[in-house]
Amino acid sequence: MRVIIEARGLGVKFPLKQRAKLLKSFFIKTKTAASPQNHMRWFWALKNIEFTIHQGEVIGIIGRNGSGKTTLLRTIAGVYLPDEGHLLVRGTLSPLLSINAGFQRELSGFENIYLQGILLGFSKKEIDMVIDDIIQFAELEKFIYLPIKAYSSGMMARLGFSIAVHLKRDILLIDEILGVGDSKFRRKSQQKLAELIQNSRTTVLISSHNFEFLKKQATRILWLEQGELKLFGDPEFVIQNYNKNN
Amino acid sequence: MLGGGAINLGKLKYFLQICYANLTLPLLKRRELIQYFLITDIKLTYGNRILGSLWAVLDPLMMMGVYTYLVVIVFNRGGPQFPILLFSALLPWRWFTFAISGSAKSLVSKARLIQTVNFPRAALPLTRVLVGLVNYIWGLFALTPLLLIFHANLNINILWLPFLVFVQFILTVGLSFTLAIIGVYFRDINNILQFVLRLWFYLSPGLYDINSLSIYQNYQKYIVIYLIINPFATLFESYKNILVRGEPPNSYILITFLISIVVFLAGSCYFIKHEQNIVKEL
Repeated sequence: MRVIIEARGLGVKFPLKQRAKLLKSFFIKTKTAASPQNHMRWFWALKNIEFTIHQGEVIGIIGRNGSGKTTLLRTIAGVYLPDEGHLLVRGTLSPLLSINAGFQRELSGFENIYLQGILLGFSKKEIDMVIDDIIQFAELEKFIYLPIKAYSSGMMARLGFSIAVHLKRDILLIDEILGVGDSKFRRKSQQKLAELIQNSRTTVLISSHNFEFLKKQATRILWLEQGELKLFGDPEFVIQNYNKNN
Repeated sequence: MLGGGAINLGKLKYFLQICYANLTLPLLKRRELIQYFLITDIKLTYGNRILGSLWAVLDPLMMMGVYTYLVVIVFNRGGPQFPILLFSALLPWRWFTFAISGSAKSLVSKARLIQTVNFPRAALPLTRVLVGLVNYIWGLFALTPLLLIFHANLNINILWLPFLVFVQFILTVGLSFTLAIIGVYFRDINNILQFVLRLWFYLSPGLYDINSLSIYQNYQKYIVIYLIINPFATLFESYKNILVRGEPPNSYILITFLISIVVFLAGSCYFIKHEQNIVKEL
């Protein structure tokens, strides 16, 4: 199988120091002694991550809050560059699907579909072809011309999910979104995801706390703990160990 | 880059290549994205595209009305052509302030978008500059009848306009890139920016004629420095010259052009250098 994502010694760091967020504090800080040791401290959100993912795999990502799941997905999405090591991503990416998808709150759902599509590099024509399916699947026919700010979080999640699965990319990235929406949509989206997974050309990375779903659908599970890769392998085995530890 | 007098040509070429590969090329590849940002941005600013262009015309017209009242009626100054002299400077200034203050929050306000998908982030400040440019062009439509009413000396010199717009464009883009980054580090930048922009306008010959400064001592000596360090001194004078007075642009515009190129390259460089860091600051 073709290697589609490969990480070698991958590390991503964030500045830990209290940044001067206000110009005001920038001036005042020079007078009130700022702790000098704090100056160049970094927090490694990911460190020394090594894995290889093949085309068509479904990878579940588990770990406690703050373990680096979102950072890993964002790094794969190209939002962050690795500060250490290498990350190879072959193929086109969907936007990182999360509860706060990158919607423009003032724009309507309809316009946001185009915005997302064009951001992903689709042409207007390609979006025209699937827009009806997107709206229908998201069950937003009545609300599609309303600005996104009028949407409930469930509606936003539905729209984001619908866009991501209809505008097909080689790699689908999903960040803790399976639990949103009502139970009917949850079932529907899991079904759609299972469908995508069957069509084994799409590689899927899902961070989720829904272990039942992951056990059923994931080919392998990646367990992150404090930015490090704890275990990567068979879903049953990883989840068993995870449960023992927590 | 400017220091030392002699510029190392090899280094400059290398620098320009980096600039092209990291900034210009990705933006060129994503023209459709910029186009879409542009349309939605205009919609968001005004709610509606048709009404939006109306506001782009009405807003500077109303500002012109206020200043004309103040200068001509209250202070009894200006000349018969004061309204169009002012208007030909107010329009490009409005474009500049719109772009600059918009760019300063362009990255912060799109934080969620930036965190979900990888796209050339420079498209965000660039869009603000382009929206301002579109408004400027709409404003020119309002200016044209006024030029006729107030008997502007329209002649061949008006063909300089695209050049002036280009000089202002690259100057504005360079500053917008810089402020987009600074706006992420300092979220309250807009407070000070409003003040700086206002001061800058009054320091530039928009409300007054540059010759009216000649009453001061050592005028000749200082006016040269003034024209060199304030790009809007030459820009305003040049706009007035070509649109109203029927004269060629102020000759110092060539220096302003050079400064604009430097500002553009420096701003681009600054943006490329910090683009990755600011994603983590959002």
